[in-house]
Amino acid sequence: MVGIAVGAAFTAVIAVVGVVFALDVSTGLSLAILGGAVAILLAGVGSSIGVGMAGEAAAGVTAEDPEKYGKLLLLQALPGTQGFYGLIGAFLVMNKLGFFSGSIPDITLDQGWQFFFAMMPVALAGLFSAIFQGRVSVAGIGLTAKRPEESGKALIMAAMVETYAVLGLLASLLLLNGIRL
Amino acid sequence: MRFQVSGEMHDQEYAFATGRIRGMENQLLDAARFRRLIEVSLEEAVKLIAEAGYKKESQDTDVSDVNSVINLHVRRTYEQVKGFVPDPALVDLFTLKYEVALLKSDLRRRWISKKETALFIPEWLKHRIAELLARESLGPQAADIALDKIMYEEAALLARSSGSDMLIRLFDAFAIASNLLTLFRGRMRQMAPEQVLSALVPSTVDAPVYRAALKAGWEEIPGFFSATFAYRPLVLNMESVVRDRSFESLERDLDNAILVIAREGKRVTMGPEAVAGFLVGKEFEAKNLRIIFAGKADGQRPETIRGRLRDSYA
Repeated sequence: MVGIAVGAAFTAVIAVVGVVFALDVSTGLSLAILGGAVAILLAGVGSSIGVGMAGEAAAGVTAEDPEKYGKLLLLQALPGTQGFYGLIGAFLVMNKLGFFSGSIPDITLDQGWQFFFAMMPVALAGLFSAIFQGRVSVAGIGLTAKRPEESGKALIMAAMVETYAVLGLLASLLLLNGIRL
Repeated sequence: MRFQVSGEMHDQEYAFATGRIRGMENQLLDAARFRRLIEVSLEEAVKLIAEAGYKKESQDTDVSDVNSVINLHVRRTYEQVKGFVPDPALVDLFTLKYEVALLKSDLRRRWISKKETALFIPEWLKHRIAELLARESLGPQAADIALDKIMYEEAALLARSSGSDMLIRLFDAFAIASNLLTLFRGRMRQMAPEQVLSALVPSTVDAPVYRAALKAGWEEIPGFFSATFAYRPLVLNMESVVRDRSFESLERDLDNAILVIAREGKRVTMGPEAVAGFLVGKEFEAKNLRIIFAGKADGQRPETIRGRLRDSYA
């Protein structure tokens, strides 16, 4: 499932980049927007896989013991944060491009690529960290099912994976700040 | 029928099933509860297992029908698990032996009505049984052996189609354990080597190894199985097997060694291994309960019963 999703996401990105070249798009604006879109797309795909996986495991435990629902909900929600990081990344791109002020500057092809690559850390770190955080969450859900008093430890273990998504977002943010318009 | 969900990423299909199994694992009886069951009276023990789910839906469990209640509970668990696993074939791996046992007893009773007896077994296995039953010359005893071979062959094929190393090793361990007991019984009864070898079921240990073990001295036998899970149980019990001409402690230690493989299911994040491990745990729990209740009914001492118990998966 993960393999198919990751493959599909990359294929989509490559297809879009291919179209950009094939149509000889000379404005960098398309590439800059593509960068923001890819950040949401990949981080969102990762989060949906992670949350979905953890949700299935949590539903399994809840079917046997409904009282554990509250403790499991947090573990299920954790892999969802990467999707928000992707959204933040895209929001920052849009802000920098002046989408909200209404004055969109001319973006060269070089600058377009800069935007595109600046979004890669949050996109890729978001994709993979969400999937692996989902796996840790599933393991944590198993731990909570067996020992509910250890749910805090399960949460910390899953939260450790979050570090790398945060680093990805931070790197994207710094790279974005470095782009001169 | 084969595993439909297989390959490297198949474990994610088991997210729900693994969660559910983790919840069900909490209801398994642990060593402390087995000890308590041994200590209390028979009536009280029946009440205790009823609290753990071993009961009939409509009535209180009676001491006289404990065995049927245990069987019913195990069957219900299999049906429940089959309802939520992505691959019901995984549960077939475990129910196969019950179906084959039913078929065997039915064959013994009425060897003639062959078509009817084949109805007990899973659809995907019917063609093999039909082939077997078509051989008119086959007597009930030969059919027993042939059915065992079919069962272990199919189990090994199913396990391989899952792509899970743990499942392959688990069902191979069941086959090796079964072969070892056949081998020892054959030696004790001084059966002809060819007769013993013909009764062995397929496993990763080759026939020449069993042949050599049949001819070797008792103390040399463990060495032939040094690369298998059975080595330690054999080393520990060979003396008592020869001295007491009893396989009780060997059987117990082989089961415990199989449980070690099954326990790997507790360590996987998700996957068919978690389900298989739980099902082995449930099976051994039922075995322990049968030992406890049979021991109590026979008036055995608590230490004797305790010594015969398998480890708990919980």
